[in-house]
Amino acid sequence: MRIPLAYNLRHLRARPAAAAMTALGIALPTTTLLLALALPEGLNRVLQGTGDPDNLVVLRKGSTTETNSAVDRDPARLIATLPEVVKDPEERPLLAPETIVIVFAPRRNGLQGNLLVRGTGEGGRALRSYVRLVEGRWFTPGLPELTVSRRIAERYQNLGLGERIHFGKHDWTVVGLFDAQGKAPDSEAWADVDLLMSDFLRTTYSSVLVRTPSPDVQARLQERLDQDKRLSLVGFPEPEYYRRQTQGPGLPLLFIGMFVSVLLGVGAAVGATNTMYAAVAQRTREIAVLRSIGFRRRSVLASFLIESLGVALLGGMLGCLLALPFHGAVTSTVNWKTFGDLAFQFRLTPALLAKGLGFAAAVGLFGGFLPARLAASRSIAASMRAI
Amino acid sequence: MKYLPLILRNLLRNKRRSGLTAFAIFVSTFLVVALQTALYQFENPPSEQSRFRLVARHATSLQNPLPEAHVDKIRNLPGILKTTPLTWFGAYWKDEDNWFANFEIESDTFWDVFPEVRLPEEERRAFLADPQGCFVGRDLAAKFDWKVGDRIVLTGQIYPLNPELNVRGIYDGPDSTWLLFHRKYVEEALKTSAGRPGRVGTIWFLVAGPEDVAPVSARVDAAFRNSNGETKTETEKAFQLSFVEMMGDLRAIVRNIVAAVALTMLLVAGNAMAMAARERAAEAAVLRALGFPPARVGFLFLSEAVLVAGIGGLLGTLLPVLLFFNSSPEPIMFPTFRVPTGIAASGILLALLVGALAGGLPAWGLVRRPIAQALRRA
Amino acid sequence: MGTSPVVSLRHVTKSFRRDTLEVPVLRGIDLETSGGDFVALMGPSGSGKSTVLNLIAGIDRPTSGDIRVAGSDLASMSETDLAAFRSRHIGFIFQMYNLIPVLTAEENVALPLLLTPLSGKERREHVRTALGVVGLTDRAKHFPRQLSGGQEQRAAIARAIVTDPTLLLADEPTGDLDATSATEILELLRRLNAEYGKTILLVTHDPRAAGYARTRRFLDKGVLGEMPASYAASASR
Ligand SMILES: Nc1ncnc2c1ncn2[C@@H]1O[C@H](COP(=O)(O)OP(=O)(O)OP(=O)(O)O)[C@@H](O)[C@H]1O
Ligand SMILES: [Mg+2]
Repeated sequence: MRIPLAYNLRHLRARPAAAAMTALGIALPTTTLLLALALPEGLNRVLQGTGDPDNLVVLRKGSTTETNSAVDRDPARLIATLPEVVKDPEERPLLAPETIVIVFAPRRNGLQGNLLVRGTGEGGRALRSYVRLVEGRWFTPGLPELTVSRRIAERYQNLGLGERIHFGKHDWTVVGLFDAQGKAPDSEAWADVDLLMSDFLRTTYSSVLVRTPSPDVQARLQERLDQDKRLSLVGFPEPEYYRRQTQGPGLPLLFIGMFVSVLLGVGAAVGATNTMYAAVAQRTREIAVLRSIGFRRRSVLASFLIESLGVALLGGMLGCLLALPFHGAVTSTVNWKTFGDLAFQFRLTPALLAKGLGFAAAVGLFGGFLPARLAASRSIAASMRAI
Repeated sequence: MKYLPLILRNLLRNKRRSGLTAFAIFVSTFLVVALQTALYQFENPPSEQSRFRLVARHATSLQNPLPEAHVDKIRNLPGILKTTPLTWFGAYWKDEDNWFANFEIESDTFWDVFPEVRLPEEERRAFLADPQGCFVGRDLAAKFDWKVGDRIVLTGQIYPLNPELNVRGIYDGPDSTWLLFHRKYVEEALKTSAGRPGRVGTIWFLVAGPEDVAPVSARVDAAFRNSNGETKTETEKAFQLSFVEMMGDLRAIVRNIVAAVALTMLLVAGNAMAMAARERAAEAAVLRALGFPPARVGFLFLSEAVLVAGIGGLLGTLLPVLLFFNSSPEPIMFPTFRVPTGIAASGILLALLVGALAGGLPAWGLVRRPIAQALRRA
Repeated sequence: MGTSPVVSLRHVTKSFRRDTLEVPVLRGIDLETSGGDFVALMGPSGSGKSTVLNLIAGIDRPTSGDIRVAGSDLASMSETDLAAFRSRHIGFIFQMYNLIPVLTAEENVALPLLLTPLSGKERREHVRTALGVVGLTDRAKHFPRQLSGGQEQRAAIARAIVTDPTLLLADEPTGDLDATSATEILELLRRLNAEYGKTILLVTHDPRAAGYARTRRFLDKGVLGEMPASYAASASR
């Protein structure tokens, strides 16, 4: 026989302040946990959502990121002649030799940022069709001009439209803003590849991005690059290239966040235990009456656990609500693979919110268990006397 | 303190609740103290010389190396005592996930600038004698189970070179998680590689005292202005901090976490004290009917809360102090973890403040409530 | 203190607000008690007896009227002044004893002395004397739950008299006791009045208890009056 829920509800209504404080105490660790989890969630969305399967990122053999890679001009020219590469309507090979540099640039919050500047060209834009110009214009080849992600413009000093930033040998002017729909280029500033390389005394590209017509052909190209010992190159399908960067970034913060949430959760569970012990003490006689009517120990145990669970879930929902405003908020952390800042949005997915509620429920059950067991284990006679 | 017995007895009246509340505050204070200490460690690396040790790096990007000639130029600038280059090699061992710090060093001058890296004399000689020699920190050696005499092959990620190294020694130091090997070895092997030979990553040097930091930094940076290797010189502390800050605005994160912890702690303690106040309403009224002034009754209740919180806070502060005293629980993150007095004090103070706030509102309620009304419920 | 009255109520009214309704409880009470008197205040339940005691003790305030106790005008006093006044002049005895459960009998008795400048040694002496007067010396170290109801009430009386207050206020002190214990308590009160000259105001339902007092007043419908015959008869038994 189950003790009706109305019984618990009535009691909760009688002590709303205690229930609210307990719930709020559980809400805060839940929020902390959600924010910690939203970090890798958002990061991984960027890294796992970037890349066109038709594109191949060609790097020096042994490298896994553009930062560590170097592709000489000769092999780059050779790639352009390969039959596997798609041609544009004007019969030019669709590819982009690119270079990246990480430059120190002050962020708007006063901290120093590590800005990823990508030297690219028309091909780089054509191969990333999701990158759309939203303001101004694209940089002019040969001029020290930048077109930067709007997100980056908002986060860095001197990167607003029309502003100038010094690195390399030039003062670079921001002539346009683009939007990359939250994908990796939203953490980048783009410039003319040749000018950027000469500014940084580079003689090698970092990578060559290549469009292939089909997966088969792409595989063939990969094979060819791998076989050709002279070239010493390796190709990764673009999505895989970004996926490989997934592990690592954000992990220290995730670790700290989890550590804090779990300890805070223990504190909140203790709060719930206090509240439930008080509830049990206050209802000692009622429990005895319920038992003498014929409710089983199990029912008493379940009733108190459900009450604690209910308060905890309430707190969990509140925690989700508190975290929700952060959904979509842009922040950044270092991508340990490139050492550049990676901007991303906090993402609170339904699965994540479910995890938060699960955490709150665990706190509630953990906190409510001992009091519920006490309530269930007392003999009727003892309870009657205890008043 | 003639009231102490009364306060203590009241505290022990519901031992379970007092204990649980103290425990919650203990956990929270521990969190606050440990986090703040970690942040402090990040911001103040534990090196006796760190304030007098400076580092010059490329002004534009850490990725950019500096010309090797910079080393001698800096060496000959006035005000600089000792100089050595240090270059991040960026290799891993066997698996990309075996990520650790490995540097090329100029073996003759390295110890002039980094005396805290303690290598037994015998092992040092063995290292200097072997062109392919390397030595590793004790914690790193333990992590990968490396012994003196082992041959290890690293996979270079930045340069097309997989160094084959002999472990010649195990060092102790504030941060014993590095692997260090001869710069000459890399220079030889990469003689023909474009862009690499004759370049160093960072240049480290000592100045006589803190008052030299600003002028010498300025002098170094001025010496290379408008060259193709412009430098940015900063203290070791600032340099390390810039790495930490790459992760995010740690200070803001810790500040927010501390706020969340304090609030949770306040809710738990506040709720406990509110429950205690409810049970104690009639007794408080009796005391007031006996002629106890309202302030005294409130004070008695408040001291209970402050005492519980103080005990929790004291333990929560003591735990990290004892736990991290001169030991390194997580070497990569906290080289030597020591709780600064200020942070310890702030932990206890925060707990006391939480106790005062948690007890304050219910105490105020006990005092405000008309006596006659409270007595009718007795 | 023969001439000036210890307690003097003039035209005291008191009403309580229940929701939006003003409920008059006392409709104009005049009461004078001189030093050394032992007054029993009787009346049906809900007639306002406890309210009168509370007003005299300064733990409640009248809606209108003057209250002077031991020479002080209570209306003009702050909460803190009232507390000091109570500590000096009032000894309160409750129906439910209201001892602090975590303190022993002697610690309970010592409580009011904490408000005085007495030293620890002096406090212990006063406590011993008070416990001696109520005959509870051998139970000094017991906790309230280890005492019988009568013993608890005697400890409470010891607590009320330990500061040697001007006025003892007892609100149905025997209401929760069996007949034998009740008699003990009433004898004790009579002795405190007779031997120690304590002024006592005793609220009770019980005509037999009222019989121990020197004067009896009857509260009904918000005013003080003479004893109805039915009460008087049983009281004199
Ligand atoms: N704080 C209060 N708020 C509202 N009404 C009150 C309050 N205190 C007393 N009353 C009302 O005033 C009336 C008198 O109460 P009081 O306790 O003085 O009666 P009493 O004569 O002592 O009764 P009893 O013999 O039952 O103790 C009652 O109707 C009571 O309900
Ligand atoms: Mg009454």
